[in-house]
Amino acid sequence: MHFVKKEPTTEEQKEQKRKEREKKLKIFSAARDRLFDKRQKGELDEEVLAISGQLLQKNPDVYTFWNIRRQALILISQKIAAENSDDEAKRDERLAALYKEEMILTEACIQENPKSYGAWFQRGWVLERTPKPDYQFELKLCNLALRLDERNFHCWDHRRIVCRLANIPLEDELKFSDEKVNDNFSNYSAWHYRSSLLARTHPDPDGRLPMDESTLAKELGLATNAFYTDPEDQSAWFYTSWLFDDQHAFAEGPVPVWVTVDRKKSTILLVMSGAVEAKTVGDMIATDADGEWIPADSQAQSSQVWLFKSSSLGPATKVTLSYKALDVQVEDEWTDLDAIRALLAPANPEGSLKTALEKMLASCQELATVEPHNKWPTFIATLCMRRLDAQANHDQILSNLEKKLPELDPKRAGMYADLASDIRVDRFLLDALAEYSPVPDTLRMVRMELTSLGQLHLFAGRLTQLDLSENRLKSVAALRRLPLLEYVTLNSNEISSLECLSDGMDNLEFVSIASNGLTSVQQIADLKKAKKLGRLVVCENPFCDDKEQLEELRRVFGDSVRVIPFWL
Amino acid sequence: MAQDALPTDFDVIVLGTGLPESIVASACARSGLSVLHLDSNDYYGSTWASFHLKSIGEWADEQMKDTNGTDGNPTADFSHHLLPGERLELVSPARRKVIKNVQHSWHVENAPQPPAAELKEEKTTATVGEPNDSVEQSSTAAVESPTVPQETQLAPTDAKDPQTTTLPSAETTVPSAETTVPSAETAVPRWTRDRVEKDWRRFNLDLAPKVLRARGPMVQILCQSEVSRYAEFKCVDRFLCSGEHGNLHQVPCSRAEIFQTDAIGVMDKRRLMKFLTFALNWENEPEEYRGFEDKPLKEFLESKGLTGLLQSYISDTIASLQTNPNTVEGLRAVNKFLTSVGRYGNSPFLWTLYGSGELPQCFCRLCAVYGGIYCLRHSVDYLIINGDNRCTAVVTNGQRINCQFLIADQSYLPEEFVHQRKSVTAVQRAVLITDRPLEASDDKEHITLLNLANDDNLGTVHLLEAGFGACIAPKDLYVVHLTAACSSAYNASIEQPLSKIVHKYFSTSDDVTSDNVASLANRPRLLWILYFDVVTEMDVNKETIPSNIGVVCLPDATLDYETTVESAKELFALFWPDRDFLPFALPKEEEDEDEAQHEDVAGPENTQTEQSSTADTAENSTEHRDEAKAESVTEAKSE
Repeated sequence: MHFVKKEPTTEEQKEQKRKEREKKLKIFSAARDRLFDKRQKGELDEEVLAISGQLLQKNPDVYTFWNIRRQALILISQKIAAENSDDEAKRDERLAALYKEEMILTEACIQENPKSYGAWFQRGWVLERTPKPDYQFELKLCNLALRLDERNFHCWDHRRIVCRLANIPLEDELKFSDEKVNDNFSNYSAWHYRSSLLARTHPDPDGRLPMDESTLAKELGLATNAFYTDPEDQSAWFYTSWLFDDQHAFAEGPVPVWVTVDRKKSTILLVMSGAVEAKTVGDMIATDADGEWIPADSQAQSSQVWLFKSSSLGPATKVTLSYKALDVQVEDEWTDLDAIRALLAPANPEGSLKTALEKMLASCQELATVEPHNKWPTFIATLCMRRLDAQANHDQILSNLEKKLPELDPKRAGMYADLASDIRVDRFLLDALAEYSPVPDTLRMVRMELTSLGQLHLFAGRLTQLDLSENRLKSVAALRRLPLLEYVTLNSNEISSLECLSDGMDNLEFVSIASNGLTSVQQIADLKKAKKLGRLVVCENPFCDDKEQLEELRRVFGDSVRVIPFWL
Repeated sequence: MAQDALPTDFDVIVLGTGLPESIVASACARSGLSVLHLDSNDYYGSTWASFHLKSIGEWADEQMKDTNGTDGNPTADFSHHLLPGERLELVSPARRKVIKNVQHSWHVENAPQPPAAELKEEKTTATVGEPNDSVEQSSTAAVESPTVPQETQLAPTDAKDPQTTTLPSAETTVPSAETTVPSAETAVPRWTRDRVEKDWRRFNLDLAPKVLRARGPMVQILCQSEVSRYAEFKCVDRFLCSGEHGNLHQVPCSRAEIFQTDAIGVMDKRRLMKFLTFALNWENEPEEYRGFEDKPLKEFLESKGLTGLLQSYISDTIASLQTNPNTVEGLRAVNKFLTSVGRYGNSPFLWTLYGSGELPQCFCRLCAVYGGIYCLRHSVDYLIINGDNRCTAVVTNGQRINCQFLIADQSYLPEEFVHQRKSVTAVQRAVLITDRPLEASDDKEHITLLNLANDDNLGTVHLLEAGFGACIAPKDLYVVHLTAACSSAYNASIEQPLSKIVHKYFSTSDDVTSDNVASLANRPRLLWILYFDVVTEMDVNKETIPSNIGVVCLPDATLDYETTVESAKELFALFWPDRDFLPFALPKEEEDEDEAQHEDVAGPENTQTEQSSTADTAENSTEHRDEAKAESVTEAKSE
C-alpha cells in the first residue's frame, strides 16, 4: 500500500525475529545432519536428492552437497538402468526425467549465483550424461549469463563443453567471439576464446605461427584498432603480445638439442628445446644402465634439462637417442647446433607477416609519440622489433628495455631488465657459437648487466666453467640447469642466497661469491651438499665482518672445504 | 450533462494537457493536492500530442480554419457566479492559435483503379462542416473514455471517431492495395496513397518529437515517479552527420563503435577517443582549453587536430545538445552526451515508443492515480479574478469551480494577461512519411538522429527518423521529423525554409535519374508531408497576470526534454517551495509472501531478511523431505 507509515521495529519484534531465525537454523541443521547421516549409511536415494536440492537452491556453493548429489545420481541412474530391461522406452524416460530435474536445479542455482563453481560443474557433468540434451538451450543460457557478466569464466568454460558435445561449427563460435569483442573489446575472455578458435580454424601450415599468416595479419590489425581506440585498456595489448609469442617455433613439440654421456662420472645429460616430462625422456633415450632421470629444475615435473644418474654406465654401455626419424647411438656427445641457433635467433619473418609486423611497429611508434606516458606502445614496438629482426635491432631493443620502459613503468623494471638480460645472453651465446668451434666449455660473461641467464642452459651439455662477475644477478636458481658446472665465479653481484644450489650440483669444485649481499652463513650453508666442493671464496660479504659468523662458517664447512673469507 | 458531477473546489486547476502542464499536474496530485485537469481538445497532449494518419490530417485542417469571431461564450451571463470584489476575464483560446503556416500534401497518387479525378495531389481535404466550436458543447469525460464522440462532430462525413471510419476506408483500400502488389514486384516497390492510408492506425505522428537523454531530468523524473512503467522506450541507435560533400556518415558515439568503424583511421580514432576522454573530465582540466573558453568550439577542436569528419562527428552530433557553442558550452554539451552513453545501451538518447505524445498521457495517468480529475473537450470560458488580483475560480460549462492555483499554457490566458512580443519566435516543423531510411547501410531498422548545421536563418535542424520498430509507422514505412528554431524575424509568409532540406535529402518523384546529386541517388521517396510552425507571439504580461497563475511553455526546438522538465520543475517550486517534486515512490512491500505478513519489511530490516534466507532453505527442505519420505514410502509399497 502507498503511504503506509513504516512502524519502527520494537525490541519485542526483534526478539521474535531472532527466535524465528533460530528456529529456521535448527531446521537447516537438521536437514544437513540428516543428509550426512544418510550418506554415512549409504542411503543415496531420492530423499538425498530432495534434501540436497532444497539446500543447494538457496546456497549453491556447498561442494559437499553437490558431491553427495552426484553419488546419489550415479546410484539411482544405475538402478534405473538395471531394472525392467524389457521396457526400454520407459527406462529412458525415467533417466531423462532424472537429469532434467538436475538441469532445472542447476539453472536455478546459477541464477542464484552466476559464478557458482559447484552449480556450473554439476551442469556440465549432467550435460554429458543426459540422453537427449538441449544444446540450443545451453547456448542461450550461456549467452544470457555472459550478457549479465561477460567475464564469467565458468560460463565460457561451459560454452566450450557445449560446443564440444554439440559439435558446433568453430566458425559459428568465431562469429560469436567477433560479436563479443565488438560489444566490448576490454574482454580478455572473448579475445582468448578467439585466439584458441583461430588456432584451430586457420592453423599455420608450417606450424610455426599461432595461426596462418594472413589471419595473423588481420588479427594484428584488429588489435591495432582496439589499442588505438583505448591504449589504456590492456586486453588488446595482451592479445597482441600473445600473437608474437614464439613458443610456436617447434610446433610439433620439443626436440632434443644436446646429449652428453659421461662414462667416467656415469651420467647422461639431455637438453631439450622445450620442457618435457620424465616419460618423454625415458622414451627418447634407451640405455642398459640402471639409473634414474632427474629434472635439473629439481622440484618441477617438467624440465628442459634432464640428468641421468647411474652406477653402471660403463665404457661399453649403449646409449641410444631415438626421436622421430632420428635414431643414433651416442658415444660421448650428440648435438644439434642448428636447432640451438634457431632457439637463440628465430628466423626473421617474410611475406605478409613481415608486412603486418612492420605496420604494427609503425603504429606503435606513432602511438608512442601521441601517448608518451603509456608503456604499451613502446613495449609492443620492442617486441615487434625483436620478432622482425632481433639482431639488427639489438641495440634499439636493449635501449628500450633498459632505459625507456623502466622510466615509463617503474613497477615492472625488473621484468624489462630480465628480458633485456635474456636478449643479451642469447646474443652472447649466438656469437660464441659463431666464433668458437667446438662449443667452448668456459664462458666469461662479465659486466653484461645481467639479471637473468636466458637460454644459457642450452650449453649445459658442455659448460663446466662460468664467470658471471660484475652483473646484477639476484638469484642463481638458473645455475641448477647447468649440472656439469665445476668452476663458477659470481663475484660482485646482488646475490643474497645460494640455497637454490642445494642439490644436483655434484660437480661443483670452486665457487667464488665475493662482494655480494650475503648476511648470514645459513644462506650458503647448503653448498656443503656439493660433494666435490674444494674452495669457496666469500670475501667482502656483509657477514665477513662478524666474528660469530666467521666461526659459524668454519663450523659449517669444516676442513673439507677451503673457505676464503678475506682476500690475501 | 455531467457537469454537476464536478466538485466545486480544487487546489489546482490545470488547463491544457501538454507535457509541462501534465508534469506539473502529476507533481501536484502526487504531493497530495487536489487537481482538476481540463483540455478543450478531444485528445491528450495539446501541442505535444501524437496522432495517427487520419487524425493528424483533421488536426491540420482544424488549425487552418479561420477562427475569428468565436470566443468563449460571450452571450451568456455568468456574473451570478461572482463573489464581491471579483471580476470575469474572458478566455479566448481561438484567438491565440500557436500553430501556423500549416500545409500538408501527398506526393504519391492513389492506385490507378478508382476514377482519376479525385486522386490528384491535394493540399487540404477537410472544409466540411461549419466551425461549430465543439468547445461549447463538450462534456466531462473520465480519463478512461476520452474519445466518446460528440454527436455534433459526427454529423459531417469527415467523422472523428475512428471506429465509424474504419470500415468504409478499409473496404475501399484493401482491393486497391492488392492490385498494387504485382507492379511492386516488377519495379521498385511503388507506394500508392491508398496503400499508405490503409495502415493509418499504425502511424503515431508527433507534433513535438523529442528524445530523452539517459541521464537527463526527464528520465530521472520518469524513474523516480515510476511513470516509466506506463511507457516503453528504445535507444536512438544511429547518429548521422553531414560530411564535406553533403554525404551522410554514421557517427560512432561509443568506445565500441569507434573501435568498429572503418570510416576513420586508427590515428583519428585515437584523437577522437582522447578528446572524448578529456571531455568526460573537462571541468578538472581547465589548462587543456585555456584561451579558448569563449571562442567557438570549432577553434578548440582544430587546435586538437580534430578536423574534417571528426569535427563533424563532434559538432554535429556529440556536442549537439548546444547549438553554436563556445568551447565551454560545447564541452559541457559533449560531457552531457557522453555521460548518458551506456546507461541504456550504446546511445545517450531514448525514443518513446508509440510517439512522444505518450509522455503527457503518462503523467496524466499518474495524476489520475493520485486522484486528479480529467475532462477533455472541456473548455474554460472565464477566469474569475478577485480584488487582490488572484485567480479564485474558473467558469466552465456554466459552472464555477474554485481553485488556489491555475496552471495553463498561454492559449488559455485572457487577453489582459498577455502582450504582443517584440520578436516573434517559432519552431518550424516538418513531418514526413518516406519509403526507406536515409543512408540505409545495413538490414537493421534504426532510430536515427541527424543534426544539420544551420543555413538561412534556421538554427540547427534536428532530423529524427524512425519506423515500425519505434511503433510510429507501419512496416516498411518511415516517419521523419524535422525540427528547427527560427529565432529571429519569423515570417509566416515566406516559403517553408525546411523544404530545402526536404528536397535535398528526399526525392519527391520516383524518377531517380533526373536527380543530379549522384551521391543521394538513393534518397528516400517522400510520400506525404506536413509542415507547420509553432509560433510564440505573446508574452505573459507580468504586471497584470495574477500571481497564482502559472504559465507553461510551448514545445521548443531543443532535442531533448531538459528545458521542458526544468521549466515544469521551476514552476512547481515557485508555487509549492516546500513540497517535493515527483519524489521517489514509497518502498514496495517485499515480494516474498512470507515476509508480507510481517509489518517490518522495509528499510534496514531488509538486510535481516537476507540473512535469514539460509534458515528459509532449511524450513523448505524439511517440508520437502517429508514429501519425499511420503513418496519413497509409496514407492516402496508399490514395489
